[in-house]
This record gives sequence, C-alpha cells and structure tokens, in this order.
Amino acid sequence: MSTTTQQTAGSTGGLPDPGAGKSPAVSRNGRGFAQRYALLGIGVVLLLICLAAIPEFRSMRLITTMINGQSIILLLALVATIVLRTGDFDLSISQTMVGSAAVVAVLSSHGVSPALAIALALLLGLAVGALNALLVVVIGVDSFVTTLGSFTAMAGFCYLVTGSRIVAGVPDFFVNFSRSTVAGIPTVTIYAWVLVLVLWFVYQRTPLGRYTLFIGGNRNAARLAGLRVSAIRFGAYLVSGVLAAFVGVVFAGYFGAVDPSVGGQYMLQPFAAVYLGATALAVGRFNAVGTLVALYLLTIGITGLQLLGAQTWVTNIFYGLALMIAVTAAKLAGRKTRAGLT
Amino acid sequence: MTKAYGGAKAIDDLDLHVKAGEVHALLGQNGCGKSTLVKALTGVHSPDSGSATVFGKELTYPVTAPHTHGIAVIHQDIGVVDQMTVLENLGVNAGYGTKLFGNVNTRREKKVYAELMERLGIVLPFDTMVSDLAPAERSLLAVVRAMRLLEAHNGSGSGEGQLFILDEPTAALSGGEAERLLALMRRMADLGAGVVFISHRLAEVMAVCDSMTVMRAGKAVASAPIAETSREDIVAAMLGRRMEDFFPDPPAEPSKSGVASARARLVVDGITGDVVKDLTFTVHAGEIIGVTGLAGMGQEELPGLIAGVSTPLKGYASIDGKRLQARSPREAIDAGLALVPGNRLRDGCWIAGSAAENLTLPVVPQFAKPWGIDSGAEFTHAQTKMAEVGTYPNDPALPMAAFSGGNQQKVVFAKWLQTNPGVLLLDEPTQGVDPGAAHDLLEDVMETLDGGSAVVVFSGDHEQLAAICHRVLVLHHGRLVAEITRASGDLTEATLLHACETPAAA
Repeated sequence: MSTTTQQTAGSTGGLPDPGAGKSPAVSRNGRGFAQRYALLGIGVVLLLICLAAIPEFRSMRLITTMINGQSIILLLALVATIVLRTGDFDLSISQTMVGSAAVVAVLSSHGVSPALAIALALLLGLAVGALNALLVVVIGVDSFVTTLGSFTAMAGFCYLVTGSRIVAGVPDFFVNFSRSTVAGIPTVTIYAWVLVLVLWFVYQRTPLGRYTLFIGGNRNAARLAGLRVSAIRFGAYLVSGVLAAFVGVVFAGYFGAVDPSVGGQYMLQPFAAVYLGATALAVGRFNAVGTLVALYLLTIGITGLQLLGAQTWVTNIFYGLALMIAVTAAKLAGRKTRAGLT
Repeated sequence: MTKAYGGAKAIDDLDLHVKAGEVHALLGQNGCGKSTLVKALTGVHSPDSGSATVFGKELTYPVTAPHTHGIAVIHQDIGVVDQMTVLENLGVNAGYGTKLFGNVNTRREKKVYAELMERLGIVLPFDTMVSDLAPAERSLLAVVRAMRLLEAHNGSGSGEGQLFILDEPTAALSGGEAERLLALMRRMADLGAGVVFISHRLAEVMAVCDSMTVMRAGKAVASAPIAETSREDIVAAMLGRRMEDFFPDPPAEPSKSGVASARARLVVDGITGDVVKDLTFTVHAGEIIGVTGLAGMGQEELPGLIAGVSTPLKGYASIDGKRLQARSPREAIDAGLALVPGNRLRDGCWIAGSAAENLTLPVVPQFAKPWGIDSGAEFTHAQTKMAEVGTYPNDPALPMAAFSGGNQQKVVFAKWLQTNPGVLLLDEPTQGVDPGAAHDLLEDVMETLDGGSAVVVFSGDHEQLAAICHRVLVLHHGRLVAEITRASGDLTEATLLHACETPAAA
C-alpha cells in the first residue's frame, strides 16, 4: 500500500526573501499607527457628524454639560486602570465611591466637620483596598470574585449607613469642592483631567509604570527580574481604594445628595471606557489618555442618539456593546499579530 | 507548496516526502518555517499555492479536521490537563467513546486504551492525576490519545494510514526521559505509521530517524536517509555554512589553591528543598559547572532555591560571602546573581512587551529622569546590548513575539548579561534554540567567565554539559551522587548519562 505523504510544489511568484523579518516590520509599524489613532479618529469623525447633522449639538453649553456630566465616570475609569494594569480586577470601586459619599453625607448631617468626614471617608477606601489586597495578593484568591464580593458587601454598607434613604443636604463645602469653577471649568472636571495627566506620567514615563505593565503581562518574569511584585500589587489596591473614596467625596458634592442604590449603575461604564481605551494610543495596554478618548467618544455617541430621540436605555446598550466591541477588537488584533509569526 | 506573510515567505516551494513506517526528521533553525508547515498541514493556515497529499488523498484547504485525514500533531506543549486523571485526559478528544450526554463506559474505555498501550509497549496508570506523571509520560499520553482518535476514524488496528507530527517533543525532557519517547516513536513507525520528528537535538535525530529533511528560509535544502548523512552535514545545511564545533570550549580552569587562587563566588551549603537534599558545593570566579540528573531529580528545583524564587527548607546559598535569606529573587539580584530561567515564555519575558522594555526591565531606573524615562537613551542602550548578543532583527521596538525563539533567548540573555552578574545561573539555556544561536549564546557565557563570573548550567543535555563545563554535578533524588571533572578526562556525554542512570538501577 502506497502511503506517501507529499507536498508538491506549486507556482511560486517572486524571489525568496531570506530577510523574513524586514517587510512585516514595516507593515506592522504602518498598522500600528492606524491602530493607535483609530479610536481618536473615530471620535473626531463622530463629533463632526453630530455637529453637522444635529443642530442642537452646535452649542457650547451642550458640549460643556456633556464633558462635566462624564467627569465622575472618567474619574472612576482612571481609578479602574490602576489595578487592571497589574493584571488584577477591582470591581468594588463604584460601591466604594458611593459608600464614601454616603459616609460624607451622613456624618455632615450630624454636624461632623468636613475635614474629619473626608478623612473617615478616605479611611473607608483604604480599608476596602486593604481587605481586597489581603485576599487577592496575600492569600491569593481570584481578584474578580473577591472584589465582586467586596462590591456587594459595600452595597449593603451603603444602605446601612444611609438607613436605605436618599441623604440630601450635603453642606456647601462639598458642593463648592466639586462645582466651583476655575476659568469656567468645574473643579470636578479639573480633578479628572489632572488625574489623567498624573496617571499618564506614571504609566508612560516612570519605572513604576513599566513595572505595573510587566506585573500584569507576566508576573513570573517580573518577580524573577527582581521587582517587588506583591508590594506593588498591594499598593495598587490601596491607591485604588483611597482614590475611589476620593471620587466619592467629589460625588457627594457634585450631586448634593447620596442615593445608596446608585452604585450598580456606575459599575460597568468605567470598565467599558478603560477596555475601549486600551485599544488606542498605547495599544493593548490600559492607559490614561486612551481611557479619556474612549469615554468622550462614548459620550458623543450617546448624546447624539439621545438628541435624535433615543430614550435613556440607549446608554446601557451603548456601553455594553462598546465593552464587547473593545474586547473583541483586542482579541482579533492579537490573533492577527500572532498569525504573522512562525 | 508556498506560504507567504506580508511579503515574507515562510514556506517557499517546499517538497517533503514522508514514507509510511519511517521516522522522518524535519530540521532547521528557529524561524525557518517548520512551524508554519505544521500549521498548514493541520488547518491553522492555508498555503498560498501547492498541495499536500496524505496517503494518496490530496488535502483540501482549509483543513478542518486533520484527524480525518490521518494526521495527528503532538506539540511541545502537549495540551493535557494537570488536574484530571490519565483516563479522563485520554478520552477527551474521542468524546469518551460516547455521545455528548451519553454515559461514559469507564470499563470499555480502559479496555480500549489498555489494548492500544500494549501494542505500543507502554504502561500508564489510568487513575493517576496527570500532574503526578513524569514529563515523558505526559508525551506518551498525548501520543496514545492521538492514536485512538485516528483509529476511530480509519478503523484500522495498525499504524497504517496514520501520520504523526511531533513538534519538539523532547525539548523539555532530560536524556533518560527522552529515550522513552524516542522508543515509542520507533515503535509507532514499526507499526506502519509515518512519523515526522521535529527537533533541535541532533543526537536524537541520528539515533532514531530513518531519513531527514533540512529546511532553511522556507525551502528544503537537504533531504537524505540518515545513514547517508552525518551530523556535520546536517548542521552545515541548517546554517548554510560549515560549523567547526557545536559548543565553545571553556577557558582554562581557574586555580583553586595557592596564592593566585580564584575566590569563591557562590557557596551553596546544605541547601534542602522539596526534592533537593542537603546539597553543598562551591563555584569560583571564572569557573563554569554543570548540574544534571534525570527529570525530577532536583536540577529543576535547584536554580529557584539559590535565586530566592522559593525558600529552602534548610541550608543557604551565599554570594561573594554574603549569605542570602532567600525570601525573594530581588535579594539575590542585588547580591550580583542573575538567573536565566528555563521556561522563557513563562518566566523569562513578557511576550507582548517590546524587546527594549523586556531587556531594560532590571535596569530601567537608571534611565529615569525628573521628566520621566529617557526613551531615547533606553532605545540606544537596548540596541547596543542586542547587537552584542547578535539579535536579529536588531529592532528594540518590536514586540518579543515578533522574534524567533532563539532570538528571544538572546534578548533574555542580554537582559541579564548587562547587569554584569558575579554569579550566572543558566537553566536549560539553549532549549528550543537552534545550534547556530546556541553556539553564539554559549560564547557570550564564556566571555563572562573571563570577566570573573561564576556560572552554573542546569541542564538535561549531557552532550552540551560535557563540552562546556569544568565539572558537572549529578543529582539523584535531590542528592549529589557524582561529580565528574574535566581534569579527570572522564567528562563525556556517556559518563554523564551513566552517572545519571546507574543510581536509578541500584
């Protein structure tokens, strides 16, 4: 029985190219550029379309409202990048924010000074971060499940401190803290932009930013290279918790009242922006500027649709789809890169 | 057959003929197109032109289910689940011989596999967790699993009509373990199957294969029966040039007594881990020693114990007289130690990061300025270091994934050589690296010896150890059972293998 495996030559075009590494490198760079700025380009095009097609869009008022209204979510999204970069999840940030806002509102209504109220709120954030870090980093529990647990526990805590009621009448100190304007820009937006700049610097320009990337990318290699992997992961959870609590202080002042049931609404949106942002600028890496671009892109799209008559449900659909598109795009891009390698 | 990617041909007009009943070696340097060929045969990619005929039938592209054509591939990373039993792993791709919601007939399953293994002359315990198997047994399991699937499709009870492709199956195995797999390959071919064996270990190829094809830059540059070729010919075909020797010679051994004696750089005193027991040795400046043993005898654990990856139960290592607490790798690195890990993808690098980022990771603070990392200086530094080890292409901006295995390993070497380590631990330093690149890397190691470093090589590759080391320690169940020195004139591949296996027989 003839059992011959053979491959017969087909026609070959062109000359063999032994410098196999060269030409793909060029096309990879070209593709890299397109990939890096695709999201920004889509955002600009979307903005121009909205400006051209929707008359109501052409008002400075709408644009500023749009930006300021997203600042809380932008702050949360930036906080989310901190732990995500080290390869872990911190899903609890949105409830930590509401919990901290509730603490501020309730303590203030009992006449506690703003300084003490803020200190206690930040301490709450630190405690949540430390608990997360203890379970995830020290004991080694899966971070997704752990922080889903602390998310839920904090949701309960919010109802406990507020007595399941909306706490209104947040003192003027907090309202001014979030809503007073500098050069026409509300402080809440300034906080968000400053955090973008700070995180951009840390992520892109410092060894610490590089270390977080390696810890998220290959933890074994990072440890073997002598990085303090556990300390950095632990620190990321602490910073994440404290910053989430700070966003809670801003939140209390921005809305002037705290609804204990609102945490769930803030859970997914930051992560959608972060994942979409990771497909831009520093492709495949959670980054601050990409997150900003992604969030504003989502906001422009949603506002445009709402002006065209869509109801509030459009927000959830838009964010949900954006998250799925972002992770799909990242997956496909990764597959394409790998396929070019032997 | 031709396959091109973005202008660069990975496979170029390739001819390959494998006969039934033979073990055919497919050889070539990293990145020469071997993997692409395997992918084309199994349907991961489709060729741009040309065809493949398997057992008289031409493959139609895209290939959707290679096993229906009689093709089975066993990868280096063999895809078995650690936390399941042998039997559960065996049945998974054959659907446990039943329907999705059907009842799994364990007794019948066992009978099928027992019969299959008897024919292959191997024994695997069905109810053992795969995590408890020796490395070679995992490969054997993968072969048995593939064979069942093929037989289920062509119904024949012999190896006829089956083509196995084994992609570097022995790369992670030590000499004795690899023997078992090689014996199985021989047996499969004797039963009538066609076996394609992809390997960088030429000694294995010479021992077990009937014929070979060498690929270079996507072309088949040589094809001959093994009996009519020689090792030198094969390497010449792979490299496109003749290579005088496969391994560089170590420099003269430093003197360890008298006035001009070299200082002791690494002292290991009574170190004990899960496997390693009460091990004591000293390595001097300018000295290169090897540590070997059969798989699981402790030479895998030892580098981690010395470098602080895991804390020893007893004993300690000290570097230049400084005793290590071994709580973290950081402490050892600060003391002047560098470990090139055995598993590059798991421990050595971040594959999505650029070569520059990976290379400068241990030294990146030195590029930090008040305004942030000086990326220009970092890039230039990376380019210089990559040029020193001969990385191709020398583009630090490329992600690690864009380099072939040998070039990735060069970047990992450069990462540690730049720290001028006083003690350099190399765990399987040339695993999965082609002979040309391996020679380059080992020459770099020899240069560090001239600079006064102490080097320890942990490897199951006895031939390499015999060629490059001043002396080799042999471990058995974690204990030092033999020490063979170059000065004695007895340091050869054969004596090392003998020293590894004799305690096992006793």
